[in-house]
This record gives sequence, C-alpha cells and structure tokens, in this order.
Amino acid sequence: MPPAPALRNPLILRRVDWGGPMDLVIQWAPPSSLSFAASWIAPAGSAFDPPGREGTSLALGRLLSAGTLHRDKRALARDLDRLAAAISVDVDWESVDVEVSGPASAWRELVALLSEVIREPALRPEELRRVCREGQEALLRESTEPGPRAERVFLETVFPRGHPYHRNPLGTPRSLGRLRPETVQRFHERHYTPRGSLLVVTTDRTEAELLPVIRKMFGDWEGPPPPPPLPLPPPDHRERDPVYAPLEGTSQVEVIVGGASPPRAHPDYPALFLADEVLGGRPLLSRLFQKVRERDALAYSTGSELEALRWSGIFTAEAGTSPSTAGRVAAILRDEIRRLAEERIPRDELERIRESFLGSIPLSLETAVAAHGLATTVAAYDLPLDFHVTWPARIRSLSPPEIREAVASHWWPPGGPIVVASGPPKGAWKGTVGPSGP
Amino acid sequence: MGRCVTSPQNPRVESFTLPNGLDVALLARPQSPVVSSWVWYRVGSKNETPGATGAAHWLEHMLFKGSRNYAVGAIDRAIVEAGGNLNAFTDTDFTAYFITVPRQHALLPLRIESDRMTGATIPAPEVDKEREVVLSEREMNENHPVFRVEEEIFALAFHEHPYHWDPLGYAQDIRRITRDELYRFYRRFYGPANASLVLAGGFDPGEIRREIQKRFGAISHETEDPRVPTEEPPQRGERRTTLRGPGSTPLVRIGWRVPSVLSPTAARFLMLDLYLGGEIPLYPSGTSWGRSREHPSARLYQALVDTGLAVSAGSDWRPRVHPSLFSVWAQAAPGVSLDRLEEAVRAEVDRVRRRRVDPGEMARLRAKLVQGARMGWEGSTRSGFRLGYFWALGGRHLDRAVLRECLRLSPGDIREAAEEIFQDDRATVVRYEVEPPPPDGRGRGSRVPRRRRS
Repeated sequence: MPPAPALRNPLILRRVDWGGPMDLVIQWAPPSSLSFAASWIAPAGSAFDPPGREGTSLALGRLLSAGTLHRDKRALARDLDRLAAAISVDVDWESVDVEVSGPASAWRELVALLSEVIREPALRPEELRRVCREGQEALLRESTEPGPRAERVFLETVFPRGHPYHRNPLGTPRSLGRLRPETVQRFHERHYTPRGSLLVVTTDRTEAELLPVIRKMFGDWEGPPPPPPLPLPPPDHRERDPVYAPLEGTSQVEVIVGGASPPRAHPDYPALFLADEVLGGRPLLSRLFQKVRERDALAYSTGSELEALRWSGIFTAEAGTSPSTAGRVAAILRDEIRRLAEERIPRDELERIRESFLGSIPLSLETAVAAHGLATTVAAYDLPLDFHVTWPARIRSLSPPEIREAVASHWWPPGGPIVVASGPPKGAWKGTVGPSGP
Repeated sequence: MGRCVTSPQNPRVESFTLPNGLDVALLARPQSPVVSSWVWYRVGSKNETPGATGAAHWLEHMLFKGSRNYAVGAIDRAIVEAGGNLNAFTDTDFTAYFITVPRQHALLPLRIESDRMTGATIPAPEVDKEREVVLSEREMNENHPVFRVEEEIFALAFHEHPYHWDPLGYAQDIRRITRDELYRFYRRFYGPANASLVLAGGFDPGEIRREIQKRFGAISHETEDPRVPTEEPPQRGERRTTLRGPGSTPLVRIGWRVPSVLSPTAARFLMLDLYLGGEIPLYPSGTSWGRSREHPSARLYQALVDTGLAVSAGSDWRPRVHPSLFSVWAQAAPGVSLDRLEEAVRAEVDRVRRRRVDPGEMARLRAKLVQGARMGWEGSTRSGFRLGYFWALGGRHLDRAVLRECLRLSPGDIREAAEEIFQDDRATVVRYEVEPPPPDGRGRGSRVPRRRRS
C-alpha cells in the first residue's frame, strides 16, 4: 500500500531490488510537481578515454541525443518536442550522467527513451563529425574566455600529468581529429554497461507501477563489469608562485585561488563544505561576496566552490575583475582562505551561514527536476538514503575549531593564484608566466 | 475586486487591483514548499535618455542597498538567512524583483517589497561603490562575442527609439550618472500604479490578501506613464557592420524590425521563431526556461548545423512592448568563412519566405507550443515569472490570447509573416570576425562540466 501523498518525503530515498544488475534508487516527486526525472549514472567519464583519443566519452555523451537505432536525430528531437521533454548528458572525468525529464504524465515514454538512448545510440559517422567540429570550436572558445581558460590552467597546475583531473574532458584538437566511430562504439560497449551503474528516478508513481516498466526497458540488458579503479597520482600540494595565463583583448580577467581537496567520502568533507559556504559558497552572505563585491566593489561576480568527487576534490575561490585590480583581488581571495585556516569562524557567523543553507533545502523541492539533483548526489556518492534528513544534524554538530583544522589540513596553503589577463597584470602583482600554447 | 483567470493548465489565478493602482495576482498552491514573490515595474532601459543609459539597471541594484526599514545589506541578509533566494533583472521594458522563500516566511517578501517600492534610500556612498560593480558586470559581458553582437545589432537597427542601447548602458554613462539622477528616475517610475505584485506557492490566500492590503494599500505615489512616444522611422536600405575581437569562430546575426508583442500579428512571429529556431519565447521548452538547448527539429539547425556550416544556429524574437527585432544567427564551424555562413543563413530565410510550412510540421509546432505552455506552470518561481512577465508586456490576458492565436494560424500565415518581415532592404547585419590571438596568447582551455554539489 503506497503512502498517502502527504507522507511521500522526497528527502528519503528507497533503494529497490528490481532483479537487474543496475542499482535502482527511487525518490518521491515533490507533491506540487508536474514533472518526472530519471538519470542513468555510470563510471564512463573522460578518465577512461583511450590514450590518444581524449574526448571520446564526451563525444559519446553528445551523440546520445543524435538518434538511436530506432529513430533518427530529427525523429528523436520531434518526440522530445511533442512530450515537452529534455535529455541532458553531463560527462565529467569520473562518470556520465544521462538525465531525461518531462511531464509526469509521460513517465512511461520517458523511461523508454532513457533506455533507448543509453543502450542503442545510432553513433552515425556524420554525427560524430559534427560533434567533433563542435568540440574543436569549444576548445577554441574556452581558450579565449577568461573563466574557462583560468580553470583549465588551474587544473593543469594543481593535478599532475597522469591524474585524470589534469585531462581536458573535451580532448585536444589532435585527439578529436583522430576520433573514429569504431572507437566510440568500443567505448560504448565497454563502459555503457548496467553493472556498476545507477538508475535514479524521481516520480509520483508507486513501485508497483514503475518496476514492470523498468524491467521491460532494462531487464534484458547485459554487459561487462565496471572498469577497475584507475591509478591516481597524488595532487601537487606545494605552494607555488602565482601563475599568469596570458590572454589578449579581454575586458575582464579571472582570478582563481585554490587547490586540491579531499574526495566526497573523506571524514573532513562536512567541515570543508561549511568552510566553503562561509568563504564564498553561500550567496550574498559569504565573506568573498561581502568583501570583494559589497565592501570594495572590485567585482560583479565572485564566490567559491567545493567540488568533492569520488576520487579527489577541487576547491576554488574566484572573481572576475578589471585587469587593474587583479592583484588586489588575488590577495583578498588568498587572505580569506588563510583566515579560515588560522582563525576560528565566529559562532554567530557560522550559525547564520549554516541556518541559511539548511533553511534553503525546501527551495530544492519546488520541482521534480530540482529534487532529482538531491537524489543523484545521494546515489552517486553512496550516501545514506536518508542523507538529506540527517545532514542538518551533522553539520550543526561541527564546531569552529573543527572547521579551522580541516581547512588548515587540506586547503592551506593553496596552489597559488592564477590570473588570466589582457596584457600584463597590473597592481599589487608579482608572478610568473604560466602555461600557454597547445 | 477578485476575478479568476483560467490557463491551459487551469491553475486558478486570483487577480485584483488595489485602489492605488497596484495590480496583484495570487496563485495559491497548497502543497508547494515555497512562496515566490515577484514585483514587476513597467520601467526599463526604454525610459532612459541618451547620456544616462544604464540608469534603470543600476537603480535595480540600488534597491538592494537600503530602504526606510532596511539598512544597507539588510534585505539580502533577511532573505538569505531565512533560507530564501532573491534577485532582480532589468530589460528594455520592465524591471522585475523576485524573492523565493520557504513557505513559513511567506510574509517576509511583502514587508521588503512594500518598503522599497517608494522608500529606497539610494545612499550616495553606495551609489559610488555600485558604479564599479555595474561596470564590472558590463566588462564581464563584453568578454562574450554574443553580447557584443546583440548590443551592436540593436544600436544599428534603432537610431531614434531607446531600444538603441542595451539595458546595461554604456560605460561612459555609468561613469557619469549621479546619485540624484538615479533617485529622480526612481521617483518618476516606481510606485503602485506602475507595478504588479505576483505571489505563487504555498501561502494562505486570506492571510496574504490581508497582508497585501496592510503593506501596500497605504502606499500613495504618482508615477509617470512609462510608455515611450518615440517611433522609429522606417528603415530604408540594409544596415551592416563588422566587429572584431577575441573568440573562437565567426558569428553572423541578421535582424529585421517587427511590430510590438501587442500587435495582432505577434502570434505569427512567435510561430515563425519556433519554426526557424525551435525556442518558444513566451514559454519554456522542455523543463527549462531560456535559450540553452539545441533544436535539431528546427529549420536553421538543419540547414546550418546538420550541414556542417555552423556549430550553432537559431532565431530570436524577444517579445517587446514597442516594435522590435526578429533576428536569425549562426556561429561558424571551424574553417567556415563568414561570407559562406551568411549566404547559407540568408538562403534558409529565403526558403521559409517562399515555401509554406508542411502541415505535419505545423501540427508538431502547435503540439510543442501547447506542451510548453502547460509545463510553464511548473514550480512556483517560474509561475510567478510567467504571471508577471505577461502583465509587464501588456496584460495577463496576453498569455491565453497569444496562445489561442498561435493555434489558429495556418501554414500559409507563417509563410506570409516571413515574406512580410524578411526584406533584404530592411535587414540589419552584424558580423563578428575573430582576431587571431598573438602567439603567446594561444592557450589550452576547457569548461569542466559542473558537478553535483550537496
């Protein structure tokens, strides 16, 4: 007997044994939602690209919406239009996340579509050529825009050659030029496999309704075991001179300060999460917003981000600013990280930030698609199924000394500021010219 | 007071007008965990004057910088500490402020919005600081060729009408505008008779009505009519320019002037936009709002991206209160010249002008529109946007009226619209050529896909 709608809590997930090798995690859609969402997540990220064929995983991800064995690209696009549905594919170094979303009433068709695009993509040569063209353009674009360029140089500086995060998921001009349908086909056969993968569904349907459809669409799917773990050279934690990545003709520069951070499963993650909220993660209240924008008016856009993945993590404090203030901004970003490492966060500040974050959880339950983001986090990182219910107590238990110690252990000193500038940086700035040129 | 509007999805929207002229729309969703409050003012960059461009947008920033009962920074703190989020945006025809909060704080946005509707203090020291932030916002946008092309095409297509400049304003004006000018602009246009208050979400309608009456009922302030009398003279001959700067591959955008969203022919432009570019400018496509998706079912994508000439292509009709621009655009694939790209864009436009839309295609466009309109009620924040957006453009009735008219159109109507608009001697063309970077500036770069964050 399914629970009454009022008792369907989207924050408590269910892991359901449906008889197949894929893990199935189900979330109740928020009661006021009109939509349905489902994601398939698998260890098929860019770290698994064949040597010399970097960009394969991302190209495959882009090809999923370019037709299947049963409908060509136009037919697929028209069906998505007809349903008001969307397919989005997110490929990072570790995994691929294929999400389908659309009206709740179309949930059966959406599950069928997800199965079809994952299992039977057409991988047509002309579509691969298109995707590679777009990849070449993306490489060009992102080498001429300050933010992405700073981020790339930052990652290549922090993570040594051989570490998956050092790699560009887009590939290189050369590797994209050499990508052939057979390579993509082999990658699909090897890595798009039910074993070791996850299906996460956010729906108002009961298990009795959902499971027969999932069995029908995925029940006969077989494949090899998931890939073995990859070697992970340790990130470079040495303090370095600032890196200047030249970029001509832009009106604004990007400043990044940061470094490697522990993976999601590390016991210090909750403390670092809260430190990031204080530093620049919490909108409008964070220290960076208050100092860089509100007090000193040095940037429109500033903040910090902690990305804790399965293998490692990355933390960055960033701002887009005028070339003339880049040095000053870099000094503020660095000093704010230092303060977190050396000084205890005042209790009232910590409480304000923490309660703001916890209070914002209902905003993630406005729609099924937003709530689905909470579910995929839990599923992808093997968190407890009631994680979002217990998480508030966990982060309320953290004390200022614990946070300071975690920051001092993992974030300080940071890898060094990176500035992307039009012309030589001005102001309080001394640094070295960093990597440039492909 | 009190009438009900029925939408395609049939949410019951209660709307009424206070004696001081404030328009109010309430969409109660008892199960929603949030309440989204929107205040829309019918004032935007069209109400600025040459030499003071960017004032409406800068003023929008200043409404977060203190009012009678909220000191500088107190509005941000009050909302974010309650777990909510807030923001605002300024366009040519309107300025909108939104606050979404967990439902237990439903009354908080009303206290803030009523306070800053006529009580913003706009302190001079904050004006000077925010000047730098606004300049930084402009510089951030200038780094993107797409922004530069958009700014230029409106500057070229409109010589007299204030659509000539972008809502961000010109840097030299932002450096010059004084605090008193901003304050005068505020006093001229901000008041209940020029505003709509929209609430959507999990609130108690009786309590909300009482609070609205209490907070907004006593506000009395005369505002100016925000309509702009200037009419752009007819365009005689093609206008064309080429921009140069950093970037990946060349861009071209071609625009033609079209009537206002209030014109009886507006539905034809919406359908033409949907046919050519695939987006629905009034409703979301899929479950996201905005022009972020590819549309392999659309004409321009098929003619330009599928053929290898472009990496992206689309059309853009942004509904506006005054006669505006319909444009088509494309970004070249690596190695494709601007001349070849522009020729291909024009050829496709020409085909649409000459051929009727296939009836099957027409049926698909209608179905997509209906689904888009239906899913446009997803979420309280988006619903609040929708209810306010239509009001700002001319009236909430437009939502149903334009949709109804779109569904009535025949394939021949789309072709006629294309024939009427796409005249070579009325085109405005902006091309963006990429300047090769100097040898030491060529670098590696990639946008690393964003990952989940708990």
